[in-house]
Amino acid sequence: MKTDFIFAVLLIAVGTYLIRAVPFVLSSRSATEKKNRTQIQLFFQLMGPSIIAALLVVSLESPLEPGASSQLVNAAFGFAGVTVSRWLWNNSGISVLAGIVCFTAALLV
Amino acid sequence: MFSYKSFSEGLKSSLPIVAGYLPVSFAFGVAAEGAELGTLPAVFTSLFIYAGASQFALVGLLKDGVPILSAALITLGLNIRHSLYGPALSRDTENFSLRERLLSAFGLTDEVFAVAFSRIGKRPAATRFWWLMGLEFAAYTSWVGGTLAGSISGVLLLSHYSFLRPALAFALPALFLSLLLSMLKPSNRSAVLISLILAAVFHWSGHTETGIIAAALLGPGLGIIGRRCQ
Repeated sequence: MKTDFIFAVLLIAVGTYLIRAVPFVLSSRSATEKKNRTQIQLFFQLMGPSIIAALLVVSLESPLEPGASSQLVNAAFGFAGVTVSRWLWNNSGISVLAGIVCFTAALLV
Repeated sequence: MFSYKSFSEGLKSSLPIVAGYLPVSFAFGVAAEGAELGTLPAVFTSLFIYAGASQFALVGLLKDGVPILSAALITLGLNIRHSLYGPALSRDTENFSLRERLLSAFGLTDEVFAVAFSRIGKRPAATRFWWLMGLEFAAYTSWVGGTLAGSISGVLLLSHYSFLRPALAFALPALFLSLLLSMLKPSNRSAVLISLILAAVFHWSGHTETGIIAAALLGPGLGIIGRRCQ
């Protein structure tokens, strides 16, 4: 491995860790003080699903390449598989596998 | 004090993450091989950076000949959204010590956060740290293991079964949808819908990172305003 590559990876690693850790540590001090501030609590409650929704959209980049309308159909089958299996078994692991199976099945048809 | 029961429950809770991580980290190993990065640097990247999207970005930028320092800074910028995860979990981790927060912060990836956020509050407070450690440990080892497997065997597999590439890529959207379905309630639907629209508009106009941060801040903000107006 080249030295500059190792340096870059370590720089990103330290930076990423600090991005995760500093707000987590700082928020612990303020969390107790803000216990009764329900609007802030509500904001953080809504923040989680909102981030997941955004990550869902962003993660669609690879399967939904521009102009690949067939990929859209495959993704729709995959999402249908996720939704139905989630409803049937209420298990994320099974849902992911079912989604991949449905996506692959649509891909092969 | 170490709690084996909580840790093993965390391991069990990580199954959906592991199911999502293995194909994606496998794909990262393949991508790293495709960029002629090599097995050791690919695993080194997963061991230390441990952030999916930015690792893919780093490999892509290096492949395109971007100077390594610029690639590092751009890649680091992709992880800014992770700063939102700690504060979002703080309500349910008030009993964590400083050391426990510093330890658990390392593993707060998108997917670990999503599972932790949806489940940690339902657990007794005393069991939460070791449950989170179990969750993070399994996710981390599957990510690093998947990278190693992908780097070693991915090229060979996909050269014979290239149709599997988009199927592997679909694991991540499937994981996020599954998690989102588990978190959806009538009380947060409007915030989620606003976030979906914001993220889509920014993402498809080429401002992905801004879109995630906008969705994380404006979605809940507008959701609260909407509630007040009702």
